[in-house]
Amino acid sequence: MNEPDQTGSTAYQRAPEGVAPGSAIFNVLLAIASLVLAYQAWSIAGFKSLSSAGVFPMLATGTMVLTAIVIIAKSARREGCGDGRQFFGDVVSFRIVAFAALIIGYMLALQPLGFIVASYLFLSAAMILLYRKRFLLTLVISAVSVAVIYGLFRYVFVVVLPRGAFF
Amino acid sequence: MENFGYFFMGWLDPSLLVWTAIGTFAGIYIGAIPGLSVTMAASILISFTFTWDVNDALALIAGVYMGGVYGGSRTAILLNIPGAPSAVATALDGYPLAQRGEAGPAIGLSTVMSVIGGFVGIIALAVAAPVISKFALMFAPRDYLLIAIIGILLVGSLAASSLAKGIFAASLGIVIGLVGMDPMTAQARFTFGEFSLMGGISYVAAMIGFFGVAEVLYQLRTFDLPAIKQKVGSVIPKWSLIRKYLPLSLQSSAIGVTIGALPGTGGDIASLLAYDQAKRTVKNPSRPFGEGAYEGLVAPESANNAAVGGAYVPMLTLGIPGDAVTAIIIGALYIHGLKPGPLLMVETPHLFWFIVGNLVLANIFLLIFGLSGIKLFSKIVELPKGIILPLIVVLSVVGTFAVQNSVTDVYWMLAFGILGYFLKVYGFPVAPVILGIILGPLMDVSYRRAMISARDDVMIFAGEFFTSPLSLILTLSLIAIIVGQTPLWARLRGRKAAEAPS
Repeated sequence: MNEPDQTGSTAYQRAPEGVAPGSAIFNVLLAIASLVLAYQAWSIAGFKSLSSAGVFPMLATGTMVLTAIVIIAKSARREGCGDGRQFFGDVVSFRIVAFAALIIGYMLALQPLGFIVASYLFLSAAMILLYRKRFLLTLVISAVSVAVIYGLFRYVFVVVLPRGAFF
Repeated sequence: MENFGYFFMGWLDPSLLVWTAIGTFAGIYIGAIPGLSVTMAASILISFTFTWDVNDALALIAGVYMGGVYGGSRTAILLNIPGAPSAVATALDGYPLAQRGEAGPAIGLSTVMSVIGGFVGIIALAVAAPVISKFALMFAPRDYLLIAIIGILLVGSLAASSLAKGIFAASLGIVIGLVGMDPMTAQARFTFGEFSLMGGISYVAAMIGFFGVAEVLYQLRTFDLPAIKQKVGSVIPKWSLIRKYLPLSLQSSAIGVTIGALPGTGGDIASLLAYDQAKRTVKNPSRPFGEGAYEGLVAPESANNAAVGGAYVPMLTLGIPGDAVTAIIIGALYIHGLKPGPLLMVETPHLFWFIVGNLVLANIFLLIFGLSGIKLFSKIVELPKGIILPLIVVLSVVGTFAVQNSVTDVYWMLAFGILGYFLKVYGFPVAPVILGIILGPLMDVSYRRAMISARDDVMIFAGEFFTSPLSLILTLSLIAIIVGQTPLWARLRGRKAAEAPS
């Protein structure tokens, strides 16, 4: 599932259109979201006056709806991704889901556990997930990183960090 | 002119000097490591530095900006992976040079050319900004509206693979920027009845989400690429080589400044255009383009650093960002209680000269750091992504939290990160979103002021776009850009090119 693909080495170059699987569904979702936002924009002030609070939001959301339709029309003409890659596995792979779950867990743990404990747990878990080499080393790297970041934030950037039950 | 003394403020104050040096040094590495970008670093940095003195914060960010735009060239040359978007064109001839064993001279030459380009950009900023800002006081609200629309169209058409996707992204940004209480009528907009949305969405959360977390997730998709090692010799370039390419460098810098000064477009587009221009105009390149021509290195590297100075021009004079990084710097200025726009240079002229002096300083540090420390460099670039990416997440989360001590902001940041990931995967550019967030409120207010002064009459409103000379020029350029995007124009040009083969 993770063979180095063409887009890999040139991650910054323009991504080829319609390559990633699931693009048609994503475009439709964007169009629906745009319609919801357009309705919201209309409900601000309706068509009462040309200088009301709702006119510019309606222009912006209207543009979203229009461009979303153009995007759908264009991608329909091109049709399909053709190289057999699957949405799950390519766009949403196990690694990405697991990593995103770790980030969510980290955010939730930040206040109850405090910055030091939560960050250490997150860094260790994430590095074990991604680095997969030398288990003990990742634990040491995590500890050193948390110490350096904490020192930097606390004394150089003078930023308040979330404190937990222990630290 | 008495404010010119502030030019040397950053040079004489040891702490400012150190911050600029650290910023430039860090910027080179941030730019060089694929996956870390200047926009990411700048957006995380404004959240860290908001408690600082504004000068310290600006010094650090200016250094990171200057260094980062250059840093991408190193990995482009050594690994054929542009470390930053502005180094895409550099890889085209830089990597072939490295394959020929000329990585050292290539790095040296691109360093010196970046510095030359940087100075051209700064000189343009110092000369043009005071003139434009005097002129900008006469701008009417509709002119701001026009400039903002032009900027968004330019980014949409030049940066994105498809115009529709670019414009969609910008409109999405505008909507995000408009969330909350309307400043003119106090009506709620896009709040879905949620009280917590009345204050709007924190743009720092949006920036870190779109450029930090989204980029991390995107990197996970292309995770397993092997690292390549290169041997590098001496990087100090020969004086004769520099002299030979100076004219091309200055010419490319001019392109860079212009593109940088256009609202929205920055070093990434400038370097591609300069490369293209060099390819078409240079008669006898040292080698054919694409096979290791020094010209193919000089043009994009001069242009992308020249674009830095250029991008500051509309930011400092009009409050309209020249590119994504200056959009973030505008956010930083707001946090520090400054209001970028034509009055910035009237009310705080010392700030302008401080910024100019600071950019010069950053450029000097760029020359020093660019021509040294190449051994350390290859070590840092080989750091495994499995260690770097989790660290970026910690910095993103904590950075977002720090600005308002708000966990809600962190949730927004993650939501934007996931949205940004999908946008990137499906070929939507992210930079226009940030531009939209910054420009949205400005466009809204400008539009309504223009409409109110036309007493809600469409004919008067439209007529004003053609009666004032400045508005007329802007309107005509806007029309030209739109026409240039239509299929009809492309067909006309295609026919012309067929008639006159070059």
